[in-house]
Amino acid sequence: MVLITDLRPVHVVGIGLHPYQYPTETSYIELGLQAVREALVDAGITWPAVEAAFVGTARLGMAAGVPMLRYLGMTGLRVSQVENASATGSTAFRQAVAEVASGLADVAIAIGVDKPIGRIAAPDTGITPISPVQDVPFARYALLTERYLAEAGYTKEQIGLVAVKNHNNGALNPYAQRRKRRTLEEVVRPPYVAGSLNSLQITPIGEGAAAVIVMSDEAMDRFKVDQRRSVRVAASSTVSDQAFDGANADVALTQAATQAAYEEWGGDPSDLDVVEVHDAFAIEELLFVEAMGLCPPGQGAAELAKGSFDIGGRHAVSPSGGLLAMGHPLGPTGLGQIAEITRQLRGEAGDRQQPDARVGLAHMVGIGPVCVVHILQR
Amino acid sequence: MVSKDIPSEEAGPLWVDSEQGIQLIGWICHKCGQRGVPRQRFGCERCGAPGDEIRETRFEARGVLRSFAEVHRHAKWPVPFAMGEISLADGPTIHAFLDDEVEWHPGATVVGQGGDRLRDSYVVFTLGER
Ligand SMILES: [Zn+2]
Repeated sequence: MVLITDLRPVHVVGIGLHPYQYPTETSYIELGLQAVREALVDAGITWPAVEAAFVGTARLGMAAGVPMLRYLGMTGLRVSQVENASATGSTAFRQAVAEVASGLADVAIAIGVDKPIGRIAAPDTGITPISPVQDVPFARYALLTERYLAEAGYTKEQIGLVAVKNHNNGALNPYAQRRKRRTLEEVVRPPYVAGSLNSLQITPIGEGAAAVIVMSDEAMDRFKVDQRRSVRVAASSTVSDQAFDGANADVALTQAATQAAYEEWGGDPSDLDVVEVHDAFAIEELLFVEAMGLCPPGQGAAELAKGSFDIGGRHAVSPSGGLLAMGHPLGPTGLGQIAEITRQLRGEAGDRQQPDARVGLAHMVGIGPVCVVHILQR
Repeated sequence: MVSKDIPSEEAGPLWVDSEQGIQLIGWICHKCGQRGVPRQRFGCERCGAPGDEIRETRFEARGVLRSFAEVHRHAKWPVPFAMGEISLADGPTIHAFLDDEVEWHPGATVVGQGGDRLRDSYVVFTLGER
């Protein structure tokens, strides 16, 4: 099997975002254009340089791309729309990276833009479920949380510390949907949405946009891009559900996708400085950091409490605020992670800066389930 | 993200009341023997055999409660209600309604009963004997 990194080197050279926010009347076009224009300025190029665009959106519906991009000037570039549930933005990024790695383009852009307006196809399979609520995410994750509390012997407070860390990181991020510091008491107290899930342990529904520009070595020379601010794509892996025989599929997929990414990168999880995790629910961060090998199984809560996953700790986990605080508008989310890691590896993350960050990993899971992992390296 | 509230006629019932008690209707692959619930005729999730290799099979509505949660917010369904993750004695793990009148604990033995006034079409699990 050929890996993306067996092909030409690919570099992230431009990032841009529209802040994530609770739904408004703002057109998705305005959201998306703001992110693209910011990414172009960041890369120091203009729109005609971009040869291919991958527009990631999960909820807007058909034909979101060209009606938005035309306002950057109709250059005739290749435009494709990408959808992969929560991993939509991550998948759009992979497509853009593959386009450049393969030599089909020297400059490509991945754009995530979304508003929570469209329908979701997954439940409309024609199969009648055992209960009509089994696919409601917060009910599923409440059951997962309660199972973890019972079987791992963890307390509500230990899981709540994930939310405290990520809300406090989000408070430092001008692009985050939730920018308020939270105490442990605030994130664990009633009322509960389900089980012992306080709404501050659940990602908010929102809208926003994110854009990432990638380039080949040749294009970086041609456009005189500042090499000190570029970040190399060191691994890209993606997997979908397999017959796991009862294991938690999201956890098993995370293990499979991160292991493949480590092999492609040739490094070890202990060398990761920054990790952006799919933390739509607080419990997920503990399960996933263990599955990724950032700590031994069962040690996630203890490591978190010690500060190992804080900014300044051994691995900064979700310094952006993660899905819990930065937010999860679907299409943009995975690209927002790439933007945060790029900012961190450039040393431009300000108050959220992980000291001397050299390597970062972005991880998303989506309904399917699917899992997408990227590793970026300075 | 909410699935259909009421099972459709074409899909057939989710369960039957037999002499052995409530049984969930699921599927079995005649090629590889893989089984699952709920019923479906699209193909085998393990070996990929097409729908004509998929037959109906039944699962005892009995098992062990792995975890439970009271749900307080739902767009269409009256709240609160209790849900559980149940490992069926016959294999698969499912999420299903629990009897709201029971004080639940993980590890409890559960058994399916016919739907109550709100959930006629769905199985509700209650406390089974040890
Ligand atoms: Zn089969």
